Amino acid sequence: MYVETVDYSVIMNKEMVGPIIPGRGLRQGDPLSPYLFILCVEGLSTLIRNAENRGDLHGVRVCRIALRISHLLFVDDCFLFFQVEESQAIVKKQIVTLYEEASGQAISLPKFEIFYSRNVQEPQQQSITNILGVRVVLGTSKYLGLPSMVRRSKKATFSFIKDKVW
Amino acid sequence: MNEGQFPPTLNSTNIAFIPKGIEQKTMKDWRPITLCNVLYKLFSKVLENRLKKILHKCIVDSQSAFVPGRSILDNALVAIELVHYMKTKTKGKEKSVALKLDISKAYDRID
Repeated sequence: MYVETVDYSVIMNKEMVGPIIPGRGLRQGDPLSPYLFILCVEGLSTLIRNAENRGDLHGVRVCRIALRISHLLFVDDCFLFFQVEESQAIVKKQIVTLYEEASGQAISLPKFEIFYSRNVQEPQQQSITNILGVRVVLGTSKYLGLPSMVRRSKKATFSFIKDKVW
Repeated sequence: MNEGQFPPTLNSTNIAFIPKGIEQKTMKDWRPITLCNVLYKLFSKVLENRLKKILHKCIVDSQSAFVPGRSILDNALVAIELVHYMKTKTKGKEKSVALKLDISKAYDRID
């Protein structure tokens, strides 16, 4: 009901244009949209967890007794973690394309960012990058508005916050 | 409405464009906001409040948006910690990789 029986009119230069019948997507401004969206993303999460249970994917853990973390989601911002193996990269790629086709949400390829742990050799990095079809970015990215990589100089890393305040 | 039917006329909405940034040149510089009518908002708010109570059971722990009792910082903190671990790991068998995706067109989209 919330997705299918919707029609829009657009206010353009104080005049109404419409109605427009949308094919997909949720509307911004509808109180239910965020909840519908996170329930959809739950599909992606389930795909990843299923692959994990089958043993096809392994998340990252910070030490031997820590939890394995394979994905972090905040609305449309996803962070996926896995081990460097060609089979896992292929599984991951399949999951992402499956989700993309099923949900109709475009996962923007140029915005893919990949980061390897320091013990991964150059040729191995190259092969994984080729499978996934992404570009390598080292630590320039932000996750949820915070830089995901904190360098030795905290002042340089967080100075942008100070700039925003003043 | 007495028979439990939702009249389709209530479901029509107006879209207003809110400018993003300083200059507006392309359609990307506008954010479409749907203006729903009050009755519609009331109904969806009722559904929302019901949904909120059970949401933490349906949504996995790794999703922290919109679920009451979970914070955006939980995710940001874990992400920073994991990336830091990967950055400092110089040897060992476990080789890990992080991939950041951006799901575009999350909301309004008309083809």
